[in-house]
Amino acid sequence: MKKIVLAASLLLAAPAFAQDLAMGTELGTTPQAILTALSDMGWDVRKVQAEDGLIEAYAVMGKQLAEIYVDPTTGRITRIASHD
Amino acid sequence: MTDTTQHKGARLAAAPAPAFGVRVWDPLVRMIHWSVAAGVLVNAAIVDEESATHELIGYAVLGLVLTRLVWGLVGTPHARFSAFPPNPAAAVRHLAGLLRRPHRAYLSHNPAGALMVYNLWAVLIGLAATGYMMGTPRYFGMEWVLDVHEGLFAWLIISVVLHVAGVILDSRMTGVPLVRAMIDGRKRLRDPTEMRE
Repeated sequence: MKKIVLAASLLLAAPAFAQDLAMGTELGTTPQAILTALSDMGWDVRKVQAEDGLIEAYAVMGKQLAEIYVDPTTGRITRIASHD
Repeated sequence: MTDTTQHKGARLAAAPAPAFGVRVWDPLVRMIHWSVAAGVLVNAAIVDEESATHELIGYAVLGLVLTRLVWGLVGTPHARFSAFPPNPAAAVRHLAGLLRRPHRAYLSHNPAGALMVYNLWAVLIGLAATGYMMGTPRYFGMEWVLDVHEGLFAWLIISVVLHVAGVILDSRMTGVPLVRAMIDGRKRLRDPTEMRE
């Protein structure tokens, strides 16, 4: 029973993270702020770099791989490319 | 029917050198050669490097190279590694002897060409390996993996330029049209006695 509850809570927890990362989510206007915000959500941030006027972060959580693009003027996510 | 015969006769008469064609490259070798070339061209110049198509083509090229490596063990005589063993010393001698005459024609690859073949295979496998790594949780977003992938790509382009230059040079010096041989599989040697494995 404990195991089932644990499994259920894990299943519920996983989409919660995914929900945290949505279009428009505010992460920050600087690479450092974005790195901190993503790390706090549980992402393993591999690289943050400038890309075509946006800030691009490469982050991993479990088997989920994501390239997250943030508009540095608003600090919000404009695109998420996930490979999982 | 008559037309065909006349056409053939005209072509033979117009041929500048005696048509001594030796079958060297089997259909699999030729198919793999041109498919790999096309795959490299498309992946390097046409498709978006972050697209799924880029990955797919990369793995297709890897599959072709691995097939060719198996064929190097069990394939037709000229396709086997034993017909063109990697020999850097012989390659250097071959290149150093370019200014001397006469030039020998080889049925398989000349020693410098052989080294180029192994180099190209190694680079393509390295590109596929680092490309695969980029999509794994362990190496995703790792800067050094991207750097190695891009470094290998730069070396691939240099290698292709040297490969094409070598093919043109060898064709001119030996009189054996190598591009044609990779298309129809036959090497046309000016003097059959000069041929070497």
